[in-house]
Amino acid sequence: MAQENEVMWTEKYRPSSLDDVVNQKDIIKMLGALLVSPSTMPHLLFAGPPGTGKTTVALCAAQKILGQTWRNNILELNASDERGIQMIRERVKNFSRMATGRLSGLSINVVILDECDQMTSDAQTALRRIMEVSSRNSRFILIANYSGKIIEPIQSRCAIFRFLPLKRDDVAQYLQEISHKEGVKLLDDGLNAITTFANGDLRRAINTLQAASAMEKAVDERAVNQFLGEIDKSDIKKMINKALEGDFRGARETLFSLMFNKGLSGSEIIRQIHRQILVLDVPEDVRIELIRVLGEYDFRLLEGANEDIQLSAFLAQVVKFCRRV
Amino acid sequence: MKDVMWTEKYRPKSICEIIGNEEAKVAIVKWLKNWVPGNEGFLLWGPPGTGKTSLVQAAAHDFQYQLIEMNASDVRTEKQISRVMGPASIEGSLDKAFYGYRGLLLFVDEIDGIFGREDHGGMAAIQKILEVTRVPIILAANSTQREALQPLIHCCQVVRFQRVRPPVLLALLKNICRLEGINAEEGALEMITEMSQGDVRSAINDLQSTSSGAVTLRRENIAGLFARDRPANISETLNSIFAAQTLREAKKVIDESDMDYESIYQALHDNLPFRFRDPEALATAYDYLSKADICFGEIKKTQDWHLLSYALELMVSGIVLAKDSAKENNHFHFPHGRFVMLGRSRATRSLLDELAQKIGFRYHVSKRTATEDYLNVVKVIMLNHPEQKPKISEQLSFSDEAQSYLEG
Repeated sequence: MAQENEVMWTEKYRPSSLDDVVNQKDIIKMLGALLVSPSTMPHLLFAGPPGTGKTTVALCAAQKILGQTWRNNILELNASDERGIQMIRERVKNFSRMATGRLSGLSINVVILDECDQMTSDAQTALRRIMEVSSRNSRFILIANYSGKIIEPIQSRCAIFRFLPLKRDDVAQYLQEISHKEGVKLLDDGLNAITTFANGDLRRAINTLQAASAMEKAVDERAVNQFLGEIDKSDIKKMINKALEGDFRGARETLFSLMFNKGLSGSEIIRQIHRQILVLDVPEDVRIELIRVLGEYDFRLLEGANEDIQLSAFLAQVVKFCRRV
Repeated sequence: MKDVMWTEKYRPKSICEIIGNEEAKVAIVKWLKNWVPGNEGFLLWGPPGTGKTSLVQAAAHDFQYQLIEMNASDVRTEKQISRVMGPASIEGSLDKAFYGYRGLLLFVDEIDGIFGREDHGGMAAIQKILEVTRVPIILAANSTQREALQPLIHCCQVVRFQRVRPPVLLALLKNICRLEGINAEEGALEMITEMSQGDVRSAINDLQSTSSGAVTLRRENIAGLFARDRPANISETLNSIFAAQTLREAKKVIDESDMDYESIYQALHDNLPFRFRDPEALATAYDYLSKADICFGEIKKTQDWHLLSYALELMVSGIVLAKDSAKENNHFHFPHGRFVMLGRSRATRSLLDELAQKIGFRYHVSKRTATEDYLNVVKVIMLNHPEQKPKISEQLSFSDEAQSYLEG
């Protein structure tokens, strides 16, 4: 998988075999034992936070199961991208037919289905059927952030592996290794800033390192913050300030522009608002109250149907504070 | 043929002549081909003028069924429905040879139009006939959102009809102009297409009425046409909701409105800030809209339709509670905010989508993660290290447009 030529470091330094995966030792050990006989192996469910190696381990496992021809016998789908269970059913069905023909000489193919917890419970029920019907030929590796959002019947059909957030030291070690190979000067405060921001998400950490090193010769705290400031865009700050000044319509316009022009998801916007609130120039009691409201709307966003309505409603609550700042 | 309305004259005879809605076409063919007594019915739903009726007629033609069409606005009560549909639905196989058809095909159009108070039982009658029918039955509706329709949805294969996309519609209009010998001024057909909002029937009607008697179709003729009265209806509905003193009144407005609740919901979202100036009132109104949204989310996830009633009530509750605060005049905004923005940014969003899709594919992440975690990194690299550009675009195979979007 890893290619010398690859531009993005997350890909360039993605381990290509299970033995190269430095973290998640327990998982690798257990998985290795299962992979000894792929034909009797159950389906797999990898659960854990982003950037902890779920997809990497899945790809390595698939490679181990399928051997040389793995690229032709693997189907990678992302549940949050595919339009519906119908689409998944069609693609899985066609895939099982094609990839397991006698010609290929293989008895098994692998379907990696990422972000399964984004699927509705109806879609998951349908997925369960697909898994049953095609279980003779296909091994499913399901990937999710929260195993709790996967319906019981699917969980019970899978061997579940829980990925833990990477330890700060592990992330740091990884970053130092890459810096060394890429000839990047990574200073201590820069390393610290990246690991703090990444919070156990190795993908995010590596991406930040690469971007910061593209902007500055030496990666120190300032370089990292310069790139993070780039992400944060002042738009989020502008939006909150407009709301706090009582200009709801203006704030909502900015919100729509972030969502529909810039393509940010609701949860990403909430995450950025959160970071802004922490450094906002407001009385402490207002800050605390804003955090409480944000938490509530973060929850509502997860449960609701329309992200733009939930975030507009949040902004309407923020406007209430305009007299107190 | 001169006096025939063009909508009839150019109505497709066969399924392959129908424009757009490819998925629905495939679905109906599959369903009809395999239909045997005991199979479920077929429910087509979608906006007016998108070809639902044409599709059913064409399917009957292609499969040699004799089509019995019922417009639900004629046949309304339980008794009438049973009287008309009952005998047809149990028609025996003996007659088939005699008719020279494969058999009968029943089509009930506009079923969402029959469930007023006075039509009580009409739906149950249709449901009963669906269970015992010996011939295939197709139903059509503009929306599936009326609560009363939910039981029918469970005994039908439900297929959604989309508005016809502008380029497809434009091609059809061009073809009609060619056949009618009309010379359309630059941009004229585009105007008609745009005004129709994907409604093929209204587009053809507009074309006929603006070009009758003329050899050249001028843009100024078209400008005289008004877009059909969709917004007028919603204004009335919104006015009544904002004027309601009690929850019951507000709920009644929704129940009796011609608008589907989804449109009302979006229109409230658009118009709340124009209606409520006072921050407290606005916050209250939005708080309840957000609570309604949670119910909608739950319905979406679980298909638990009994929650719909709470969703609709919560959606207007905030307005009822917030009502005595300062309000602006009756000026409504359609379409506002989101839609304007969506229209304006369509090109940008399709570029973003392309970038996200390609990045996601190469780096094994979802489009969302691609947008949030990768896009900025790629941008920064390209900005600071121009020498990397060819390599990046080669590896990710971006289009030229996407490439120049990334460059700023």
